[in-house]
Amino acid sequence: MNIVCTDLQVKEPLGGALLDIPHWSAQSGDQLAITGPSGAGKSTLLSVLAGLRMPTLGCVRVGDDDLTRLSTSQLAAYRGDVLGLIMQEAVLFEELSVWNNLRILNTCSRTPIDLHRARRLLEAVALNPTQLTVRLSGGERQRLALVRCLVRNPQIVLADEPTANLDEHNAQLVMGMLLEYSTSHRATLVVVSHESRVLSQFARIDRLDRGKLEGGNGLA
Amino acid sequence: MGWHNLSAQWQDAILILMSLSPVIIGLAGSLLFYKPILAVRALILGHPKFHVGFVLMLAVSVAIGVAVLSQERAIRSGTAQAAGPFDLILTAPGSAIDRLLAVVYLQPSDMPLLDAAAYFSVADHARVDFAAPLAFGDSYANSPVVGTIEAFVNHMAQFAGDQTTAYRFLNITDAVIGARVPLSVGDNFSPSHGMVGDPTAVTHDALVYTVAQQLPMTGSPWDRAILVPIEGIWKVHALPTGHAPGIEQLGPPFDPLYFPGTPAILVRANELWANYALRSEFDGPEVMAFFPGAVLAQLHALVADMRQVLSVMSWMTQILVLSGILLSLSVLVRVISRRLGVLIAMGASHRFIMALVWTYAMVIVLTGVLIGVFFGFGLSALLSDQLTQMTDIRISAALGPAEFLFVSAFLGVTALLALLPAYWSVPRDVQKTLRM
Repeated sequence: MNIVCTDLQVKEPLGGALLDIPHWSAQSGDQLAITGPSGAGKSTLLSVLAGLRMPTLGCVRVGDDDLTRLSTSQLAAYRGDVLGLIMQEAVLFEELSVWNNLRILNTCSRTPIDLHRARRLLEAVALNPTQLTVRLSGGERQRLALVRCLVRNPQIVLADEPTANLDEHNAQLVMGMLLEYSTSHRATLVVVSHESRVLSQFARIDRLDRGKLEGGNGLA
Repeated sequence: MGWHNLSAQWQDAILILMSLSPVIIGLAGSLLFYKPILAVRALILGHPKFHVGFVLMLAVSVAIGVAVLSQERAIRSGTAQAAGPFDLILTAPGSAIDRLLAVVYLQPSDMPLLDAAAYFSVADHARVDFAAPLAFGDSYANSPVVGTIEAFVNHMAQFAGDQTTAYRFLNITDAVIGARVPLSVGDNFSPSHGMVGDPTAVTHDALVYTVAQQLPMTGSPWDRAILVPIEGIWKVHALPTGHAPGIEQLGPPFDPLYFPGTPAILVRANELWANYALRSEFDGPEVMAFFPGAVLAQLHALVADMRQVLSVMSWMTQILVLSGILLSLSVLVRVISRRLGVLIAMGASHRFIMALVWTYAMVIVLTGVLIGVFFGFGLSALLSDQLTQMTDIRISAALGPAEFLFVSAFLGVTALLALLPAYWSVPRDVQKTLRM
């Protein structure tokens, strides 16, 4: 699904600019990384793309919809049906089983998850569905977050430092699955990272500094 | 059909249903449209100690409210039930409450005697079925020994549900014991001159009673009483026995010349309506005639005023508890905000988050309230048992409309107030909440 940001500005309450991007876009199936120093606005851009934060100015067009004009329930439907989101620290429901951490998605969205697909994905990341989430290691937690992100076949996947806390093996597994999913489903993949082991896997890397794009491959 | 035409049960049912309507509608809507149970479970399991503490705090508060309401009604009902057999009582003038306590509840009290004139004016009245003299002052162990006549014994037995057995005083030493007197038929005993608990009581060794029969349970202090022919009481106190010397008769008719007086007379009219006429007729400067039920109603009215005060205090406590619940929920909402943020990131709508937090709040409140009702009833039953042991008045704890109304109103108000933390729970800045 295409994403086009035009005249995008996000300002702090006191007026300082967090983001100031005249134009940015990604096409269906694009795989791109966003990098930059801390405080550059990478996560802010991701939260705007996820519809979790509204820009102060500008528009964010996803497919035919402008996110800035959607109602809260339309935004919720967008996040539930179109988007997959992974964060640096996997926020899971610790006291539920691995399986119920996926089932809980059914309470959030009108589209139920495909249970067969859920099982296949869990097998792919070597997770036991009956295991309690609280007993998972850091790598297993992020793998579960990955499954939770991909199980609904999102057309856009946004990942915020998905490998930051992972060892080499888990980092490779997570990135491999994200890239493979994006390729096989023609899903737009946007990964925020400053790890070279991650960035090296992308042909297009956009650099942000103090809220502005410095240039990079594939910039429109 | 107007509200006032409805029966009390219907009025209670409608009020309870109306009070519960926010809970019923809210839960039905939430469960039907949002199906948040798994998420509720996740939130509750997330902070078990907090939730256990919260539920217990709520349960204790509800239990106290339920126990107070239930106990108050049980006491009122038990005391009224105990006064059941006593239609109209005649005593010497004084405090009706003192006389009521002495005659109906057998509380030790010094009572002046009614003379023969008073007794015979009643006993010979055309509208009186029987007039039973009641003589107090002796005791055995923890049981008051009361001198009376057969008619009174049979009257008590009928009140206790025994319509068939004839209770008789065949000898002056025959005794009929209440159901809770620790003696058996055939046992012998000598009463003491003095009331129960009187350390200076002296045993009447000259008189040895034999337990002839035992009454069924009445649920009143009379279950601990020993009923004996009044002639024996008079005799052992060196008074005329109510009959001319040489006449060994027990019970009425008594001889006015040998009637020594009696502290109280229970009057049984031959028609219910006649009681009012008899009371008006007998009540005067020398005799006090009163209906125990009416005196009890005055006492209960006094208690009801206190109950109003207690009720206001109880509601104030509930308001404090509700404020505590709101505060706790608001704190908890902050604790779970990250999880709520994740749900939003996964596609949960703001309405879903509100429904989830409201349902979550109601699940823990309902759990606390149900445990509270259970504990409250248990507490009330325990208190009832203790009070029954202490007073011999059968006090039975039961849950009634007042308790259900109290609980349903509490739930209804909580359901409405829980909308506030539910509204506050929707993270305004999800990015910050998720620490992205």
